[in-house]
Amino acid sequence: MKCQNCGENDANFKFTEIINGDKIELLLCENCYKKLGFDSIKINLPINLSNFFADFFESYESIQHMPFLINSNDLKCEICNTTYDEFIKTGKLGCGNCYNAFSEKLDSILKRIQNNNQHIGKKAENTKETIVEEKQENEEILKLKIELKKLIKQEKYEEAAQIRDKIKKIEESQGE
Amino acid sequence: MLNWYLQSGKESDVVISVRIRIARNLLNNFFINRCTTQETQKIREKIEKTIFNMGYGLKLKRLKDLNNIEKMSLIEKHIISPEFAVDEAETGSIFLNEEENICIMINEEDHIRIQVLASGFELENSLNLALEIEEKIGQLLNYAYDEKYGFLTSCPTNVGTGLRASVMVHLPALTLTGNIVKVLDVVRSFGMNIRGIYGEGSKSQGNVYQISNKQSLGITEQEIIRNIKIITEKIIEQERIARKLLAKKSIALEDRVYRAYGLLVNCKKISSEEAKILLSEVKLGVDMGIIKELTDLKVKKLELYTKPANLQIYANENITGDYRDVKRAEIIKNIINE
Repeated sequence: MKCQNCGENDANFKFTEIINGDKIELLLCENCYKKLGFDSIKINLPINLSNFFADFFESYESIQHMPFLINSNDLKCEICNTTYDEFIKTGKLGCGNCYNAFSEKLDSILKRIQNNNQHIGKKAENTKETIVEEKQENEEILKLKIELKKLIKQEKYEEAAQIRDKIKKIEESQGE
Repeated sequence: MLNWYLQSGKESDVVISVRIRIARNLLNNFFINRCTTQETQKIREKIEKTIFNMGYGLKLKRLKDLNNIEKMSLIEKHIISPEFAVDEAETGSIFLNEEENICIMINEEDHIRIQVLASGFELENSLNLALEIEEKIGQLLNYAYDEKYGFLTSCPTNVGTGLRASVMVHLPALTLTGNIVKVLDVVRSFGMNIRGIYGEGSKSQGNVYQISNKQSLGITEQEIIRNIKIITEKIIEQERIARKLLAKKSIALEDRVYRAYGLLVNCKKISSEEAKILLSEVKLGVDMGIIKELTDLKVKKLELYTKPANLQIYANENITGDYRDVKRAEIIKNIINE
């Protein structure tokens, strides 16, 4: 049998792919097998627990069952813009603040999957001052970045440049 | 000096290895799934700089600088996850020491994932080392943390302690005597996860299972370890009882394990799946003192170097396709005759 890709060499490799019940079979020679990248890692990914969230919660229709499923459209984290709906779909939160933004609904979820919603283990060593400082600076940067976008839209480029330099200065002093 | 995956630790007749994994994220940064590539690079650089001179013999390896075989080899040793190698190929890195028992993943599902691995039943020691490293990093970086929810992670299944403790166990006798499903049910009813490491569904090729904690919030790190230790001890006990029962039908058992040994020694080509199955039987034979021709070390070497990427490292050449199965048989003979 000749290779189905180049038609020249003898086919020594068979590549089989089954996706959603559709089977694809290719007979290839060694060169084409390597060239087309089929000898690269094909990894069978283990099921990710967070993928389950969407199906798990969507299967409950009644409101009494899962009160935290209603009125989810307006729930959004103001820092990273992740919506509650996105979280339910992907099972992943966007930033630390999401835990605050979705706190009410998260409490119910955590009681289910963790049997608990209050941490009692090891505490963080972050010093209070550093946290507050960092938080303040980051809020400032966020405000400046929003301002920057606005100015650019308004085509006020000189003012935008000043804001941009301000941001750079803060980032440099905060970072390293 | 043999690395941990070639050593036999405590309770090694049943317990293969343990892994402690602690997940942390940087304060005031988006979680990985929300970051742009640029932001991810920035986070990576910040963490790399911090851990670089921390000691423990840790060396930085960026995923994009590792070739497929190197990555696959780490996956086969259970040092990094397959998702990490595939999804974060461009933006992820690891710090790994020479003994390969400490591996810190950067930008996997969370910014920082500290992992300590050990052969045998070494839960407390591994936890202590992992916490020590977490503390050292915590003195240089601020972690995302909340008084109520604990250490914040991108997936709520890890929030709180961010701790996942897992034990890998070899349960051939429980499987042979038809008791494995009962074991799986009991473990799960105690709130732990148990899954076969290789193969689909609850059945495991090679009879290797991984037990890990489900709960990470509302529980202390020590309690997590204690719970998983108690469950595992119970399973070890049951496996040993099952082996004693098997030993009563000694001829049948000897025949079984020696047939597997005979195949391994004499085959001219063998797939990695078949090697896994045969090695499980042979390991049972060695652990029960039936097969005298092999040592624990040889069994460990056979298990490692019959795996696809490590096989190529052992042979020091790239090998694909059918020829790999042939080489595998050669390597098996080599190791047995060492």
